[in-house]
Formats: sequence, C-alpha cells, structure tokens
Amino acid sequence: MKILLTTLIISIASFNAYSVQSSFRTRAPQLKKSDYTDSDIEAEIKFGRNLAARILGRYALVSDEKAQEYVRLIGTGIAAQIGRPELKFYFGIIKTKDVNAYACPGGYIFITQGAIEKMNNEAELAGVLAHEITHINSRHVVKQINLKAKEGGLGSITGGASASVRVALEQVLDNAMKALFEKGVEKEDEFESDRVATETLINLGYNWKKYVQYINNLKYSIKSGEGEVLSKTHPTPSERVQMIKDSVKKLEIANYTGKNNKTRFRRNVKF
Amino acid sequence: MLTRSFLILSIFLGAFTLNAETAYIKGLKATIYAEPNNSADKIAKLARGEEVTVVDKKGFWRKVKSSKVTGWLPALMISKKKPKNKISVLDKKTNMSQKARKRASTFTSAAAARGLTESGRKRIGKMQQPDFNALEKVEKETVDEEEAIEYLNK
Repeated sequence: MKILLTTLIISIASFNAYSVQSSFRTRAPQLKKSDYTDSDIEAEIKFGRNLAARILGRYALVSDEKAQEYVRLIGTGIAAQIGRPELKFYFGIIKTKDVNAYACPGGYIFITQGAIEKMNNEAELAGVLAHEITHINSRHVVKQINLKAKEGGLGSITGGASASVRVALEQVLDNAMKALFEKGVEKEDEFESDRVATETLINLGYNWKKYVQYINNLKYSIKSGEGEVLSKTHPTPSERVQMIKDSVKKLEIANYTGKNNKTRFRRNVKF
Repeated sequence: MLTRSFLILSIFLGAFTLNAETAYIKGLKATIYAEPNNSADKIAKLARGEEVTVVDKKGFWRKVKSSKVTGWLPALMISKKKPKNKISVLDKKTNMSQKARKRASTFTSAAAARGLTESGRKRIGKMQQPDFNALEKVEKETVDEEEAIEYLNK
C-alpha cells in the first residue's frame, strides 16, 4: 500500500512539474507577444487614424444616415463582444461600387456601399464586420507593413512633430495603403479573420452559412470587375469557403444554425 | 501513517488543481451555458474582466468556473490577459496634416534631403489626400456598447 501510494505521489509530482514547464513554454511567447504597453496602443491608434483619414480622402462617406447608424450598431455590438477591449471601434460606409471592407489599426473600419449592395441579410453584414474586427485584433496590417507596434516602432513615427518624423509617417502610410488596396495581408491572416468571423456569428446567434454564401458570391463581383481590389488582396472565394467549412467541421459546430435578420437589414439598408 | 500519506496526496492533488488555466472574460457580457451547445440553457451572464478558471475544453467551447457559476462559453469570449481599460487618443489627438502645414518649410527641406520630391508629394496628395473632417464625423457618431449588444440580441 505504501509503495503504491508513493508511486502515485511521485507520478503526480512529475506530471505537475511537466505541466507547469510546458504551460510556461506555451505561454511565454504569447505573453511577450501580447504584452503591449498603453503607449504602444496609443501609437497604433494614432497611426490608424491617419490611415483612416486617407481612406476617407479617397472615398466619401455615404450620406444615408439610417444605413450608417445601422452599420454602427451592428459593428459596435460585435466589437463589444469580441474586439480588443482597450480599443474604441468606429464604423462607416464609404461611397464606392467596389466590393470590399477595410480595417485600419486602432479600431477604424469601413465597408463599401458596393459590398452592402451585394448583401441580402444582417448575418452577412455581421460576418464581414467581424472579419474586419479580427484584422484589427490581430494587428494584421501593422504586421504586413513590417513595423513593430511596440518597442518604439509605431511610436517613433506617430509621436513627434519633426519634419523627418512626418516624412517617415507618410512613407509608412503609403505602405499601409498598398497593403489595403494592392497587396493585401498574408493569406493566413485572411483565413484567421474568416475563421474568427464564423465563430463570432455562431456566438452571437447568427446563421454562419449566410456569411459563407456571401463569400462564395464574391466570385461574381470579381468576374464583373466590382471586386478588383478584393481579388488582389484576398485569397480566392473558393479557398476561403473551403477553409471555413474545414474549421467548423473540426470544431464540431457545422450543424449550428441561427438568425438571418433579413427584414431588419432591408428596413435599414435601402441601396 | 496512512492518514499522513493521504494528507501528502491531497496536497499534491491540490497543486494539480492550481494548474488549471486562469482566464478573464473578454466580451462585455458573456452568456454562460449549462452545456457546450448554444441551444442549452443560459444560466448566467459574466461581465468583462471577471476572473474565471478554465476547467475543461471542447472544440469551440470552454468550461469555466467563476466565483458565481460554472458553465460553458465560446473560447473567443475569454482571454489569458486581463482586459485593459479603453485607451483614447482623441483628447490629445494631433492632426498630422495641420502640423505638417505649419512646418511646411522644414518639411520641404527634410523631404528633399530624403529624396521625396515635390512631384512625388503632389502625386501622393492627389491620390491619398487625408480627410480629417470626415474622420471626425465618424468619431463623433458612436453608439453605446451595451445598447448595441441589446440591438444585436433583439
């Protein structure tokens, strides 16, 4: 009995020691990666503001206030549940037939009138907004322009008023615009945003299959030329759809259903 | 002797329990379900920042234990790090365009020194002139987070 008990105790002790070490190994890089100071985050927001102003310089805001308010409500609700809590998220519909949406660091999200025109219900809109929120959560654009959001990277170009700082900021903003309108972010980052958007829809009680349908239909926009930027900056719709289907199957949530809110969408969006 | 051995065993088992992962509620209002399924009974709501212990995992779901309740929620509603408070730069925002205009002469010389020519700046300006007025309109027209969540749940 004593031997048995001693063996059991030693086994548990060894398991504990292994568990502590392995969980530390797993957590250590994550902690370092997400250990952003308030100054790092302020720099990220300042940079995002400047990028957002550039997008609004290229495309005007849609004047339909009812539609703008509706997008704000849906976007803010989603961001409150899955967005980075330290950020305030802003939403706007921009006037272009191009089918796309843009996420600027720090919480600025714009969806095009063209994208909304292709939608049939709120579940699709919620999916696209959740996708953009995930780009911001994971700092995909900052990563793409190869500039550290911490350790003085962004802070060094957003924190000063000198001419050289201004020039550096302009150059980095050019690169960020290229990432948004020409090159896109990494394919894996797009997949991550689709995966999290799908999980978010399920979490919020929406029909995730409507989002998949919307992505699938993007192939028609790409064919007609309305999805030109989208085709340059995103994986193909079929790749995205397949990845989402694989992901929900793996998580055993493929059979979940939910609301579409088509009537509310139609009541608020008239274009 | 046997009692002492069991006491030692309990201490080790206690230490094992402490290895369960600590997490924090990330969403503003997280619904806790009785089972790992979104059609299961909703048994509680936990607020952002509440500390929980993750005691089980099942795909999309995490079983958490708080001081108030034990139940399931989607993994994306929790984070390992304690949520930060909102950070805003709007009270101390700086419109970089205005700043640049104020220092136009300095900017011109620095730009020239770095090879950013006048024609190059005009090209950028034409293509990507920032509109801070429109941005401020977006920043002014916001909605309350709780109100927005209620709207989603309607």
